[in-house]
Amino acid sequence: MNSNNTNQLETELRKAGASHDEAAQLAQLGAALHELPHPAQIHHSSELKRELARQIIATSNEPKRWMPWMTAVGFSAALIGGIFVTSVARSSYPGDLTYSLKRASEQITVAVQPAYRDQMMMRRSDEVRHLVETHADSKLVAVTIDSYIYDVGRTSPESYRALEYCTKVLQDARAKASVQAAQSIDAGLKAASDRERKLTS
Amino acid sequence: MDSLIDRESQFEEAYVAHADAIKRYLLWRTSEPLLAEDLTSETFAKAWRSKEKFNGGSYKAWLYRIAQNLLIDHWRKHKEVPMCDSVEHLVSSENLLEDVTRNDDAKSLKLAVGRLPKKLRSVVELRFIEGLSAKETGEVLGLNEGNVRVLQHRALKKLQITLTEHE
Repeated sequence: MNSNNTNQLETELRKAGASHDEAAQLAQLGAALHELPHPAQIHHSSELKRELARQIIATSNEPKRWMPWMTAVGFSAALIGGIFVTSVARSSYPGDLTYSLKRASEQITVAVQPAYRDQMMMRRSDEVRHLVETHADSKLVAVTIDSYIYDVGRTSPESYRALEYCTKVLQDARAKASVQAAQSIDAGLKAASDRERKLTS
Repeated sequence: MDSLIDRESQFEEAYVAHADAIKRYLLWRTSEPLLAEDLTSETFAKAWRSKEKFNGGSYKAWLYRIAQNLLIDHWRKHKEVPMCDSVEHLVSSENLLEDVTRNDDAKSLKLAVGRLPKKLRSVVELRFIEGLSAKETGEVLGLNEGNVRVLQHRALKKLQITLTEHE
């Protein structure tokens, strides 16, 4: 907070009833708050930001899907006046209309910070569990497991906790899965088990 | 009336101008980089889809408002404890991110902020940590500037007392 802003804050505090001295002290506290360090952030270039903005526009304008086929609901939504109707995908899942945006964000993050691949892997396992619990198409489970296996293949020895978490989640999902989905999940479990053996050998 | 190309171009510039600030705010609230990145994208996606609803005022404040609402929705949907209610996480040594809490004063201040009542905490986070003006803060929170001035006074006083008690 520069001195102008601090002076402005003092003025505001006095208007709110603070005495002159109190306002001065509290304004200093406000300045200290402004100086609090933030968690390390991944910064993108202006060019990359423009590209991200264009992706957002493209995803919002067209019902682009991560999966090649459309669900009945999604197709109907897309037909309503040609307007892209969606609820905001708070945390979108495979098959959701904005899932591609989520994956694009992840790819950018992990390209800059490869350490976040563990978190991506955990997300895939959570997504599988969600898909099973919501009785989604087993093909969605299969494709999500493929992504999971891809991430598993790029784990490091430090990823053992993440792999443990994923294994537990997938085992949980498998217990509730259909026959086809369970087969896909078995492939994911095997991949994680093979990887753990390789990393610890 | 702006053409679609003009609007798209303006949106791109808005993204370049504000994406980092929005992401920083979401990162502060969640300490999860992937989630912050996702929610940043969703914030702008919602802003683009709802562009007809923006009726003037600070575009930046509008973005913060969308971001805040998305975050609340996320926590509600995932039944997670909001970061603001688990302040010890802010100073967790297992945090993958840069250790921002080496400085004891900063740590105390962060903890004190986390312990403020929700409304006061929101004012502090937007007004001081994010650096929004009182007017912009009001637009995000649905308050008038006078309300923000009163709340910021109250928040700072409370923080001052908390910090003094813990010295």
